[in-house]
Amino acid sequence: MLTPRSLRRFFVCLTILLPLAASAGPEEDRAAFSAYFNKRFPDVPLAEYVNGIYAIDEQARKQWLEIEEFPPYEFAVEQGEELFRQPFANGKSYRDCFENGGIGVRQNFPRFDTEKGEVVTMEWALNRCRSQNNEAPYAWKSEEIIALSAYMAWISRGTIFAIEIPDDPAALAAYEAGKRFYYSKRGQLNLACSDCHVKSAGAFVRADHLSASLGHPSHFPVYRSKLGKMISLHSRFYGCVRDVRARPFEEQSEEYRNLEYFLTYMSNGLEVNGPGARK
Amino acid sequence: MSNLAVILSLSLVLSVPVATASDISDEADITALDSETVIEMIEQAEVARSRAADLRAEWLETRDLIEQARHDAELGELEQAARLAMRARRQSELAVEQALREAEAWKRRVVR
Repeated sequence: MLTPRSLRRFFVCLTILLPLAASAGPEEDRAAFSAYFNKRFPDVPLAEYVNGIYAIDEQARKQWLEIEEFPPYEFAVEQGEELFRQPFANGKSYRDCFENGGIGVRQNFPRFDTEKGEVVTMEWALNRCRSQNNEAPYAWKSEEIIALSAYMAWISRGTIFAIEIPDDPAALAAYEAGKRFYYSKRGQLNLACSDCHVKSAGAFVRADHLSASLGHPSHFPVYRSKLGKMISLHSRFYGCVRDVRARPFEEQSEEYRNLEYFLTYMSNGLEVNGPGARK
Repeated sequence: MSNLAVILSLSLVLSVPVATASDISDEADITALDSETVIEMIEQAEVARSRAADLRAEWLETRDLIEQARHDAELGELEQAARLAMRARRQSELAVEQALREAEAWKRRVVR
């Protein structure tokens, strides 16, 4: 029987629990994200999401599989390997900057650097390696940094994303900032990333289907047929922000690094399959 | 498909007519402006833009509108310059409103 006292207890509990529900931790976020897409596309196995739109668009998938017979990103992988093997002027090389000589490490990026208090993406780590060895960093849009990133993904193919959020308030804050960016509406079209890639995933936008966010970062950098070149994940972020008619941020800006941190954490447990090919 | 169509339609309905209405309602006021007033309007637009930029919420074309307004003012095209300045200012005000609204609103979209 409901008494005034039990009602009061109920509302006190509600007051405590509601804010907790609104600020779930990263692992709860990831589980909910994964479950959402599983429910939304019950016929799509979880592991398939690393293929982006080709996981849910059968027609486009057939074309993509044909393209994959002669992958257009191979040149970038070869160039990346060559650059990776070139020693710096001081005799050291990229191998000296990464665990395991850089082989099979892509699944751990982005990672949070607790000393510097910042998110370190694969490209950021490569350029940091150059700076530490007195080499000029590459421009973020340069062919070289994208080729290196493509090679790092290639030699990590099949490894499983295991993004960590260290026990550091700054790391959690970076994750939360990325999450906030992802769900915030922006620009003249008043759209959030999630409006297209969660709520409307699978829907048409003009002649194409919108991809699901789950697995989004797994296949970058990608060769874009319509551009005839390789692009980074941040270049794609830039394009999306511009497309909703907001002023885009620079590649490797804090905003995009945090966004990549959140988005890649959402893909933990999925495999690295970059570089990729997209329309 | 329908969700996106609704979102896009609503976004367009909410954004475009606001700027247009603002232009039309002020049309009578901008035909006889002197150069000093128009420059002041451009500066006000720049202040509003900078407020949106501080919130990392600037819209895509606002800077271009202000730049074009400055260019038109220099050429003596005061009415056109004033029109662009008002549009830039309105865009910036809407961008600020959006950012302030989103400070809490984004939480409701989190997948749970």
